[in-house]
Amino acid sequence: MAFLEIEGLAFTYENLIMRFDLPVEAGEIVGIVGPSGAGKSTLLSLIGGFEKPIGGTIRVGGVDITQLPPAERPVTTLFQDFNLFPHLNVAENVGLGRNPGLKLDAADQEQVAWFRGAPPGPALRRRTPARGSRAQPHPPSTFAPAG
Amino acid sequence: MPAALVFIFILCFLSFAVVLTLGGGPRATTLEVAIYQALRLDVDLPRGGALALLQTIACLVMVAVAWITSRRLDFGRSTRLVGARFDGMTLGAKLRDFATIILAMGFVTLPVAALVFDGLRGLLFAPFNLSALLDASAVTLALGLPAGVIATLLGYPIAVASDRLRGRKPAVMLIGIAGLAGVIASPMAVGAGITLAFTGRVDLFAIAPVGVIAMNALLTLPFAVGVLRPAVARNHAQVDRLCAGLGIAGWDRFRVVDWPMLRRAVGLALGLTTAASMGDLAAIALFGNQNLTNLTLLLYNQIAAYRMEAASGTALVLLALCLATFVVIERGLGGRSKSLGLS
Repeated sequence: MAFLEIEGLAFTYENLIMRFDLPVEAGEIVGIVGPSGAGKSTLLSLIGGFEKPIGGTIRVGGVDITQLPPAERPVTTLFQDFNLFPHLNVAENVGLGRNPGLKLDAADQEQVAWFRGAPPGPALRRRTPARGSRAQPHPPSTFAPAG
Repeated sequence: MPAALVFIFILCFLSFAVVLTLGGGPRATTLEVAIYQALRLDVDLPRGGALALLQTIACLVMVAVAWITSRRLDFGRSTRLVGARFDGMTLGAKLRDFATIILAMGFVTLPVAALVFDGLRGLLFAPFNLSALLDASAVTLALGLPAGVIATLLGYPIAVASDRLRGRKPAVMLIGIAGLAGVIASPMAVGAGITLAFTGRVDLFAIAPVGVIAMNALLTLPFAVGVLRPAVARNHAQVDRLCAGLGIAGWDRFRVVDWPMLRRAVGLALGLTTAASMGDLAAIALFGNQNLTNLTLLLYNQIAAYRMEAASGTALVLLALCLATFVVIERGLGGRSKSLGLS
């Protein structure tokens, strides 16, 4: 069985019905190619949990995640824009990945320490892994919109 | 555009202060002033109630007209994308624009300049009652601030809900109506309702401050919603997914994300609604009395008594107080967001 398994995943947008089936093995790097409106971003949104399918299943490592809210899924999405909170500094953006209320314990503080005092600049922002998540049950995989 | 036209027309239709001070007599009155006269001067409650109903129906009809003509009752929506304009490049167009702006500025600045000039003269060279002025200023603040706070506190969830429920017609209609209640049911109609509801049950003088605050809050609510809605919509479009992905929700989301990102808009909304409430005459004219006189009522009384020098002094104090309050709130709340402790 593939690491990421999408079976009969169905989604409707107005009158358009989309169906997705996709197996991805662990360690595999997959690029999704298609014309504008083919559903590339929709597929990633469905895996990330930002859109609700009307049927089908998404399994990661054998676990059904179809009904989980985005934050509880063992996946991370790098959006086309707005991946950082512009009003927070680098350390705070990183810290939000450790705790959604920025209430950091000693271990979190240690993890974030490296980013303290980091000057907010475009170069540093791009390198900042702002979307780390804490104590994940499965190894995370990153999805970046192909379009 | 039709919606904007109707909105401005309704605001003029509901005009109270201008008609009360400049108009007069049965020949030059609006429904709004007629309600006031029925309730306050003639103490004819049934007629006041009937007029209020008439007023509400008239406003409902106009809102319905706006609804049908525009298909979208979007008061307070601003377009984010600004297209490039190539038609303002020539010298003629620039001169035309310049002249228009100067004229529009004169329309606003000339009366204000005259007011400042006369007001200073009134305060410096004419005897005036300092304690009355100070009392009225205190009442103005004490009534205006709570009204602004209530309008903003009500406006925020309405703005959030109307953005969240976009595309769901009946719900949006209901929310939109809630936000526009102060326009559909005119201030005086609301005042009439409060008067009718409480007459004979509670001492109207005792609840007068509550009446003023409630009326002003409702009257300024559309402006709070109008300021907050575009900001809330932009905020949702930008960070909803990011927050969902990180599991930032509820109070955490408000504290860490929404408040820092929206405080400017909230400050603007609170400043606007407070300043507007402070400058309102309708509510205080209906509920005010000897013991409850704010600057606008003091000003009206002075004008009515033809004490123009005192009036211009009061007007200047009112202007300065409104401006100062607006600036303090807008800057105070909307200032640069503080670090959350991880700098």
